[in-house]
Amino acid sequence: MVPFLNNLSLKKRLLQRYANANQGFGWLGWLLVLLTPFVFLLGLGIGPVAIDAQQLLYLLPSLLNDALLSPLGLGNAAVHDPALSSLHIIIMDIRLPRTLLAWLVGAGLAISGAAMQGLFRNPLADPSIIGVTSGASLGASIAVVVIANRIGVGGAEQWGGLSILVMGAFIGGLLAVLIVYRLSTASSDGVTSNSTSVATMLLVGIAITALAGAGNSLLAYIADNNTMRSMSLWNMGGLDAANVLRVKLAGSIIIPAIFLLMCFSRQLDAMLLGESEAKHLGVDVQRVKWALIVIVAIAVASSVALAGVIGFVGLVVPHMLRMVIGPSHRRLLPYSALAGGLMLVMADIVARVIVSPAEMPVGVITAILGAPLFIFLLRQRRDYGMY
Amino acid sequence: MKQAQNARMLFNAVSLSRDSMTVLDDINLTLPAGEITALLGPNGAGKTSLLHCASGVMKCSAGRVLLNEKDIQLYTPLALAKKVAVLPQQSGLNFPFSVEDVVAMGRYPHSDGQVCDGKIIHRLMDILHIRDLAKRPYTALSGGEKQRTQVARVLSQVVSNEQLDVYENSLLLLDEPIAALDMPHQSLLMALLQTLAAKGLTILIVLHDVNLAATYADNIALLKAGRLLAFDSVSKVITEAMIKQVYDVDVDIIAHPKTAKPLVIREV
Repeated sequence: MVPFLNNLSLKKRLLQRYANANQGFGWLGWLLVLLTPFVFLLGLGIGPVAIDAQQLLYLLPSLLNDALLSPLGLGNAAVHDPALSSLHIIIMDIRLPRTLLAWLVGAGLAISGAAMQGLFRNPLADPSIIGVTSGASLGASIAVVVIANRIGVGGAEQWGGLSILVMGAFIGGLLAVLIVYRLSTASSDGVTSNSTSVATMLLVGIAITALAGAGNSLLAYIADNNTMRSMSLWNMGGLDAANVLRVKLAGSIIIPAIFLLMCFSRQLDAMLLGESEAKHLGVDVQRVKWALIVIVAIAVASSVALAGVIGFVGLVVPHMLRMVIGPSHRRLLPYSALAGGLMLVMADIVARVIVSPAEMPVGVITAILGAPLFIFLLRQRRDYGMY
Repeated sequence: MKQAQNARMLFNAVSLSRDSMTVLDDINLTLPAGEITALLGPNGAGKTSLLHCASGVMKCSAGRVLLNEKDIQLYTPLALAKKVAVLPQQSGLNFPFSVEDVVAMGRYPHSDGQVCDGKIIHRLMDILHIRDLAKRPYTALSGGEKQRTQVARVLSQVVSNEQLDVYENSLLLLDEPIAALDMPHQSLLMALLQTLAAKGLTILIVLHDVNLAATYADNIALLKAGRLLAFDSVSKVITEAMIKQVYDVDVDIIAHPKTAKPLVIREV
């Protein structure tokens, strides 16, 4: 069926999609939707203190009350079974924020990766391609090594739940993208008016990444041992610092970003044809580029700031989905968010249990789990030209 | 030079220079509505640049390009896309969209709730013999099949219904559309363009095959080193002297036994 061009009623459209086996709206999307609560419950249940299904079911009403209704002022003071109240606290204070943060960060990274692969028309692109990750890394290092030392606080010092590291990372990530974008945007040369070359952007991104990497190494060199260890752990990514404030911050940035990115699915499809082709189809290419980069920069900078550098999700999740559902962004973008969220929640569960009671950095897990899966899929679909 | 009464597009003293090289030099050209104009000339003459100016992706350094009496640079991208469709010389799509998906993208500027969009796409795929390939990934196609898919995509942008009626005042720009096509598909495409022109579509097409241009086009524009050497109806432009001047080759020109159009034969 022809995608994205019929403005029929939603019901009719769904029926049409359903009728068409090749487009197959359904199964993968529904599977991802159905898996989400299941994996969420796993995320709540699994950990150093095991909470079994029966206990979870028993706790569920009061959890829902506390997590959803109370913040809206609708909840009633729940009466807790004293035997379960410690579990209730574990879930509300530790596991629920952590699982939610994992989902948000995973979803944000994956959908950003899908959008960047589309924008750059390059299957090797990932959210870090515009320099945001390395910029955040450098920002975090500067915050910890220089600023925190100068004003005499520890890098992990919390200010209302946020460390100076988080703020440094967020600002660094955005600054790096700004530099990359400015350097690859040619001012009007008479022929092409004020356009951003994605090819230049790719290269400038690499240069900025290298530069930030050097800055990082330099700071690591002058840092003391403790600071250096916290920097390098942060660079491996981890969700152990999750708390309610971080979830709220991540949610208020990443959820809107997901929906905004989904608005660009048709433009991204057209841009895969080529930039001038997209222009000829009526896409305001420069504006779309700018909007996508701003949205992705903010979403990724916030997730890197809150959860460290988590590689692989943004690169591989959209890829794996494209192999199954094709490149059309109308489905690729929402599916990427769903699958990315699931993948990171699962990876975080593994990170928590594999060396329990210690924890593995989740970035290590995503690579260990994701890379073999990706290679397996690659070998399955060699007929697809680009794969 | 020919002066048309009913101009779809007007090049008014258009010049273009890039990196201090003059690519187009004072081009004055009028594309008559509902006619096929073939743009011919040696490699590097500026044919593609002229097309870029016509499609608005390049701003000319001097002069103006008017579409329906309005400067092309004043159109919004979407408004322009509703009037002008462009087939570039080559396309770099390397994501495995299905053929049908690629063709459907041509409806992007018009997707305003018409159920007939699907019918248009299917009709064009039937005509260009790619209906059987509808579900195949574009990346797995041969060069000619890819080209036919792109042609169908671009045509679906200018065709308004299944009967191949075209949108009012619209213009089609094609850059060497037949290069990758076999002989029957070359004729098929050119005949299809004639049908669309008869329905009011204005077409500017870059060609290398002088005989094909002479057979199917209404007018021929000859470009050499950025300058417009001739622009007139076929029989007035295709002369031995003119071909010699543009391409620097000696040819004989005879009348086609059936159509009586000029036929260029290379001297050996």
